[in-house]
Amino acid sequence: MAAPQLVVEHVTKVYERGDVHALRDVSLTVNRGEFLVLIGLSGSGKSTLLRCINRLIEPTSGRILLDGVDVTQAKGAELRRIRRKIGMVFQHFNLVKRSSVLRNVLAGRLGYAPSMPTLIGRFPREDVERAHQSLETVGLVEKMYTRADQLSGGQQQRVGIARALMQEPELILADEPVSALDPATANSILQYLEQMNRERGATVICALHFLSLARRYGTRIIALKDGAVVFEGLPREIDNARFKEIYGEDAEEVEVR
Amino acid sequence: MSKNPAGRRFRKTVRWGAALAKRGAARSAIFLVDATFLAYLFVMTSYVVSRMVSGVGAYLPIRGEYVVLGAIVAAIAWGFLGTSVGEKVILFLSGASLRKAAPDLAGSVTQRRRWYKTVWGLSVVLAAIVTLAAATLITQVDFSRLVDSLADTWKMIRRLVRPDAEILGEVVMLTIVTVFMALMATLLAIPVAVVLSFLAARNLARGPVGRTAYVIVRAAASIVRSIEPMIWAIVFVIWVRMGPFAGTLALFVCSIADLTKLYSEQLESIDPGPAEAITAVGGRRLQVLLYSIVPQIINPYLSFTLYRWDINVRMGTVIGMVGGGGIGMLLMQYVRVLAWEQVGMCLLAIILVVWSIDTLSARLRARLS
Amino acid sequence: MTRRPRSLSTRLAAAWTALRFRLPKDRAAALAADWGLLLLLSYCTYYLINYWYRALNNVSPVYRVPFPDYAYVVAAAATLFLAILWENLGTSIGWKSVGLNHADRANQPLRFLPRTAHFALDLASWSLTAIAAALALAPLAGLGTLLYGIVSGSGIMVVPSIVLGPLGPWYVALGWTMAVVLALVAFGYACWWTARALLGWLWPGRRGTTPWADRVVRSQVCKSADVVCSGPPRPWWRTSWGLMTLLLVGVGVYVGWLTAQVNLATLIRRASSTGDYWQKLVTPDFKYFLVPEPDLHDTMLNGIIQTIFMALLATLLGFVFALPFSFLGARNMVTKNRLGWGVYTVTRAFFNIGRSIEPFVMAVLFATTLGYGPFAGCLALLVHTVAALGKLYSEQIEAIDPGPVEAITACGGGRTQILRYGVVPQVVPPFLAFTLYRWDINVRMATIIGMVGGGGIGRFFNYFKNELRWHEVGAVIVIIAIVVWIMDYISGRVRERIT
Repeated sequence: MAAPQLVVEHVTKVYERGDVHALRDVSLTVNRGEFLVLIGLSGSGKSTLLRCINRLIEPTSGRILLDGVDVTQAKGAELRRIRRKIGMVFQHFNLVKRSSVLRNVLAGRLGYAPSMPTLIGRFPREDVERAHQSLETVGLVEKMYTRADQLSGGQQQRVGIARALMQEPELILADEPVSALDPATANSILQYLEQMNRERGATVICALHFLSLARRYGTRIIALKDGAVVFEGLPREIDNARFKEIYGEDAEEVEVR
Repeated sequence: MSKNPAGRRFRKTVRWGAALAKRGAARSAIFLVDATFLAYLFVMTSYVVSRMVSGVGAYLPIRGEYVVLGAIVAAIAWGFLGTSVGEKVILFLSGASLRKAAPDLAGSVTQRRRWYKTVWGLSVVLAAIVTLAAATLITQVDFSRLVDSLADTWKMIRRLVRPDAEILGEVVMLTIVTVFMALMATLLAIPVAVVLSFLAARNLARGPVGRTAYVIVRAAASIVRSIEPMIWAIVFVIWVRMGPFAGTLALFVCSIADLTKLYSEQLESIDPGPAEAITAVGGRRLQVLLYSIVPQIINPYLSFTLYRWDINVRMGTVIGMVGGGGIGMLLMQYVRVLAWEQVGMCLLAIILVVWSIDTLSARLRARLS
Repeated sequence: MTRRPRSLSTRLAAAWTALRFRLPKDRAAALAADWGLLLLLSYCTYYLINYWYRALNNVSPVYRVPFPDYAYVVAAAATLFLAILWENLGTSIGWKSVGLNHADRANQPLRFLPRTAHFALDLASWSLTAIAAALALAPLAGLGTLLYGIVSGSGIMVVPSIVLGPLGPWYVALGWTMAVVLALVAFGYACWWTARALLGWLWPGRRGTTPWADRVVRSQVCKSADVVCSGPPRPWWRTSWGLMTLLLVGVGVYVGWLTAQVNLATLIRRASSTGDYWQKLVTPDFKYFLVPEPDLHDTMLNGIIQTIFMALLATLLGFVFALPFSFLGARNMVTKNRLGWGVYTVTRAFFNIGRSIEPFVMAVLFATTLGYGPFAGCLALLVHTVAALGKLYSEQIEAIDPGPVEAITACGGGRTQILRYGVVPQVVPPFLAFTLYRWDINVRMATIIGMVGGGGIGRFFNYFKNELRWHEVGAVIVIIAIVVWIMDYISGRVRERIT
């Protein structure tokens, strides 16, 4: 295989308030086309790691290389260029609730579109067409002009995915995309991510709560505990002992289908 | 679990230090409240007693320094002896965080006596009685005057409720002027307040320049808000002479300060998620602003603006009385010559316009939220 | 079934019921709002006609264009008709603001428009189209004039030649020509754009034969909004309520600018000429803070204490009086029978009227009859406080959770027990918060009430202002600002904890 797409080297993050170590010396590599799942308890550093990759959070030390370019050193326009290659799907969808679905999806194009016209809400024609296509992919074309807050949770997350699609991402970061949803909807959302992974060849790094979902969708699993990597391997390698090590002695595995 | 015992010890020390500092701050706050309370009690009691005995109220029967000294000593003693008023107040205001940091403060009330059997309860009651007595004396409450003037008042009211319809045209025109004054002040204040609100929002203030701007704008808004529109009106009457322009300017200045405060509080409470999303797709700062923050604040901003317009109409009716133009000016003219029928007409117009704009704006605001 | 003779009152009641049925409260409110807005617009027109007439004919500022008396009646009727028309054609501002939409309208068709009105509408739409066409042609005409002017040496080029006298050297003439051409192109583009937008707005595509009538029919017949709206929704500034709002704001600013006599030149010119006064105002003199002022026989400290206690007493008494009133003014407490409705209505009317009159105005009235002093100011504050607190309290009572009340009733509690154990515990914290807030407001009001004879610090303000002692006026303003700021801060902190 060619050079890895993403390399994380010795990344540490210390929050200034209350000297919390969110990440302790995390190193990992991700190859093109992987579906990498991050698991771990709440507060184990999954979100922080994802946000360090596109610099929504500044890592305290360490390097992150995306296609050989150091993300941690990027500034201004270069940082924006890197960010627009990385799609992100959020736990609470992070849609603008009062704007229409179309506008929310178009916002995914802000990194590409010429900046002056977007300030008065104009996008190039091909971007609008692309938005139609993305909404078609997630099956929400008929909701195009509906306000985002009138959709159900699952639909809102699909809008979030359509927004990420607009970026034509090479890498998708999904921060617990299904933990605010019911199990049936969760599966359909992850299937969309899987589809993007298979058909468009986008690498996916997805933080998940449930091991069963991780086993089903992940090609590789990394487990974090207290900000450090405690496990790295294939889904089937996680047995009961490992599970207890990651989640603590009292944990029981819950099936989610 | 931690591999670094020294670090752990350090963290523990830091936590201890923080708790101690918090306790110290709480102690001194309690002492301050106690001392102020005791001094207040003494001063007011002496005022009430001297006023009742000699007819001339004296706040300080002894030298002020002695009062301060006595209050300090008594407050210290009270702090050691039992639950003081200050302890109650500070615990109430700071809530759970202090209880966690300094459990001995909250724990001192182990015996659950009813509040009116405790020293602090009784002293609060005493302070309330003294305050009421002092308030009655200071505001010169005099019911005989109320009774004496009953006939006059009745005559006035009888003339007030027979409004003079002859001046209807003039009243309507001037009422419209008042409404337009309020409208102008509000509309002109919007752009200024919008710009200032972005400077005065804590979550948007970044860097030393942003912080400084935040502090300055907040302080300025706070100062301007503390001065009543009437006083601004007088200031502007002297500046641009009497007339609606002076009133408009006064309302304009107050609206800017008030709207800046309301707007910036709204900005501080927005959901940061969408802004994060737009940053993640590679948006510029201006794009983040336009695509994630602006859609969230438009409705609250409109709602606050309507509210402010409503207040401005209210204020506009009285601002005229000190020369700010509009219906208030007419009202004051008629009051000066005791023409109560005409005053009644003006009041009727004021009631109608204030009431209807109040209802309208309340209704629109209910829709907007 | 025999027809019983119907009395007048029965008939009136029946008519009222019919009207209530046909015109529910929401729609009545919407219609009233629309009518009001259109009346405002017609007032603005009237004002502007007068203003322009005076400006053009150079007559005295009190001159009013003599409209016949019936013109006002006609204007009122016409605006009412227009309001109804507006509500039937699209979403009006009133509909928008009370939250009605087309789907509601389809469920309850309210046909103010007879079928024959379609003809009138079509006529109107065609004339608007003609205006649009004329607008589009105007730049062409302008261009023609320009060309003619260039060729013949007159035409539009006459304008600069009048301004500049003889045309001067060739480069000046060329510059002017270029400027005029540019201006005309810009103007032409604007006209063209306007005309196109207007036409597009009037005549949306090939659906329907006659634009306006088509809209009317669809808004009346179509059962749901989905049928009518296919394709992207219009942006708000292209809907009828949005356009109307823009128009109203635009005209409002213009007329407001004129009525409020905004004059920036005065503002700037007089800023320097009142410099002496500013200088005195920003160098406050606190000499009389502790020393009695010889004419007023009192210190400013006493004044501000008086102000605070005035507000305190008014708030406390207001609390005591507002409490019983608030229960009478709460819909869920009293409106069990006719008497209850009567009491409710009267109490509410008192709240609304009392709140509408500022305490400042009341203080003027009280000071005239009771004589000057803090007592009059206190009473004025009291009346306003009772009304304002009563309204806030009663709204709070109306918003209580009915669960506990139900529970106490189920336990067999009596009326007073329900009040004591079901209602009171729920309303105590918000009542306290409102009262504190009111005290805060009352201190603000009390500072100025003294200006009209209500005692307190305002008396000092008024006295120093009249004596033109601006150093002292500055001091009073500083004291007021500090006290109000402290009160604001304390009451804010305490309210935060209570609620």
